[in-house]
Amino acid sequence: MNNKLALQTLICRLILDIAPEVDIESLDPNEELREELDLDSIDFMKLLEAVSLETSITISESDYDQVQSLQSMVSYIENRT
Amino acid sequence: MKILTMPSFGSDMATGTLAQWHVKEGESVSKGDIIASIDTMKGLIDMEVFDNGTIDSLLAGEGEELDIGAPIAQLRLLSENTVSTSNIEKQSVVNIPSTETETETDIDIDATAAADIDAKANNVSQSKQEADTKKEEARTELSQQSQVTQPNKQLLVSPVARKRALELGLDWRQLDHGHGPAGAIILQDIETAENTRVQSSSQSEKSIQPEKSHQPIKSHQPIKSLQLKTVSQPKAIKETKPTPAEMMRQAISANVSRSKREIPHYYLQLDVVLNKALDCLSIHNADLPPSKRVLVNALVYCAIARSLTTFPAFNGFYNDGQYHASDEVHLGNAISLRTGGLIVASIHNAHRLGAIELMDKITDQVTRAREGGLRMSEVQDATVTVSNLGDRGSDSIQSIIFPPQVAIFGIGKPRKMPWIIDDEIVGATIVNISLAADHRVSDGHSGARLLNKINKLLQTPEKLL
Amino acid sequence: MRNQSLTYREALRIAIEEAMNADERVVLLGEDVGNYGGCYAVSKGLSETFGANRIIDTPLSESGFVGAGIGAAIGGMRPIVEIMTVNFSLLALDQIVNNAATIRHMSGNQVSIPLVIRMATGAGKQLAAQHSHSFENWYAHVPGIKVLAPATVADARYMLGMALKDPNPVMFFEHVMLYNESATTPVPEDCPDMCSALVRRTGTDISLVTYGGSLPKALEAARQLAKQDVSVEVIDLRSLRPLDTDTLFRSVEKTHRLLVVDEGWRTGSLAGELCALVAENCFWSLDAPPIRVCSEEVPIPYPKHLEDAVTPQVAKIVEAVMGLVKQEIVP
Repeated sequence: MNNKLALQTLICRLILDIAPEVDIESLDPNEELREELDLDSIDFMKLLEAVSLETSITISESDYDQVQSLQSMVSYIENRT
Repeated sequence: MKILTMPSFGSDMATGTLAQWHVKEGESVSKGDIIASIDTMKGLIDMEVFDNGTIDSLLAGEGEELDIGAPIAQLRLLSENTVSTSNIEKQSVVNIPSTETETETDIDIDATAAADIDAKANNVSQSKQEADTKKEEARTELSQQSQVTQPNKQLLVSPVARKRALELGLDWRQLDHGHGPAGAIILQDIETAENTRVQSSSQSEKSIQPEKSHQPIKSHQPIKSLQLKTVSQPKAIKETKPTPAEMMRQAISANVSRSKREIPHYYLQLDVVLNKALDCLSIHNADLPPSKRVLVNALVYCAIARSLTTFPAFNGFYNDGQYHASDEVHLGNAISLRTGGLIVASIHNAHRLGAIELMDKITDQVTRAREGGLRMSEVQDATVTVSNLGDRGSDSIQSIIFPPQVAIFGIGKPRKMPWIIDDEIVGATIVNISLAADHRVSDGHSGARLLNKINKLLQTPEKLL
Repeated sequence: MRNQSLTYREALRIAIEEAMNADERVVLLGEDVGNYGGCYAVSKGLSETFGANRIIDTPLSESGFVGAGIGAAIGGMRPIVEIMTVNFSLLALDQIVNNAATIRHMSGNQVSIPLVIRMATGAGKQLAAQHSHSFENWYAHVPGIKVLAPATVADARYMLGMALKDPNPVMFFEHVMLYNESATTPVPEDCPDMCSALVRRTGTDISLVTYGGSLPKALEAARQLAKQDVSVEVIDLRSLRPLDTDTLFRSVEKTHRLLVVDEGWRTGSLAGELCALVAENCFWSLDAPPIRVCSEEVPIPYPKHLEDAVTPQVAKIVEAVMGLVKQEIVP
């Protein structure tokens, strides 16, 4: 679906802004983002902030466990747009 | 006249590149003004000046890479009336690892105390592991050479030599003689010095010969190769210059080795229940955008900083057999760099900040650490350090103290455990806080009390915000 | 003709002849220039060619005949006045400095003085104190005149013609020791212009600047120094007023050292002027102080060995250069 793909591309771009040296191509969308890309809590927070600015969707702290992987983050946002 | 030198931003840094000047010759500066941006392997760090005065001359060019301790500018202090000829104090060395006669090489991962920026001879040799043997060699070399420079010796230098030295970022004053008439330093000497520097930085073991390309004369006597107090380099396995990562690793290795060698560590741990802290935060963070949310680390840092105000034996510096407690708590936050390596950025006066402010500061510093823009003062003066592997780290972490500090905290990852609270088994989020401390300055009893104090503060988190 | 050689003296003669043939306004006046053929035989045979009206023997009165030359120039002629030597020009100093140099200025540019004054100059012929002066620097000091010091056969041959074309007074100094110098017959390309300095020998270690009779000594010194691995750049000033500072500065910027060889006495010498210019303009390029080799501060002696001892010689130049470039041994 176009929306999913667009969102995925967007999130990947935002990740690269924060961590320019990661190999985004080989990221498994189902794996835990933070673990795969070595993002710490501050990186993650920055990512959420950037996502919030781009999509107007704010992910609350209580929902963190729903956005652990790229796939799940895309779904979460898609469901709320 | 004060000579400003390339500062050390951490033991893992042997050279820095002067990326940009923010002042011009003749410009007045005040304490705290940023005068330059230094590019290090950790990114761009802003260099401040710590005196009021006027920039007399810039000795390094933009884009120049210089060793730690190399002169980069001359500052005419406000207190000086006349321009005096620079002293040839051997406090810094031009681009060539010089000899040192004392152990004052401070190779800290969080660098030297800000109190004495110019006092120490910051001569970072390529490999501290061989520092001891090198020191021995250096001492004998010095006494053999007997080239002790008198502070007020009249050193002659030709205009073109001076100009060329400026272009190359060398300080001609570090040569105590030249080959011109009356020992004047001439163009040839500067070019020889430059070739020496280039060769020695590639860790060549060969003794340095002056470049023959511009040698005007072979007189009846052969010209001796210019001795520039080069310490004979230890046998290098690699002939090429080490990468920044390798250099960082070497320096970290040297630093931690020294720490373990000199500081009698003792270790304590405490598991802290974070339930109340997390509840407090989730309420606070509920309606806040991600950038305003406070992470539990900030609470822990806040608790640590505040506790330290009543435990001075864990917040200060141990030097030359003496401990000086610090009045302020400058909390060193160990930030890992994405490309590898570590930088400790100090949060000034952390004891006076609430968790929200701390969170802002941490975020800001981490960003600047990774993108460049950390200030010199932030990387030099931490009074204590906190090491935190994040919520994907290990259950606990026992750290190694960074001399001359006397304590270091380790924050493990918050983990869910069954716990007995009020005689009942409940689920709790536990974090392990460790403390490694210098037994010369404190003992286990006070260490334990300190940890308990931190725990206590974390049980009333609202007060920390 | 190219492969034949020409002496400095012959070159001058040919130049005068050529100029007189080309322009009937050109005349030569001076002591013994006609019947005698010139004190230094420069004008030998010219009287026969051009007659007494154009090769004029003057009375023994420098002030008189230099004044006459000035008057003739004002009147529309193109005179060449020959003063036997610079030593005697002192007797015409007022004419030169106060008339020739100033009339254009004082007349509000209405009056031109297209005059060439030729003089022999310098020491080396044991002519003793009163007849061995080098006063090029005195004339180079005065605005309103040009001062040339041709040091080569080519310059002698072609600079005179250029001087005659100049609408202003031009002093033309011929060093006594150069008259017998010979070289392959020059062509016009050998003399590019009237007022540039020329690099006679390129080098990298030191700029050796000189003019006139000292040029051969400088070149010889450079040859000797080359054997000792010192690379000397030799500059022939050719024009002393105006000075070609561009060539001078460019050379010093390259070599970082300056040595001026000047047969005048050191005090108030033209060499001093050159050192000052270099100090003012090339200070930051200097790797050594600018120095000079000049005549000793005594009246020029008569005995040969003393005359040689007093004036700049090859050995002195070599020694001076060595002192400047030699690297000191540090214990």
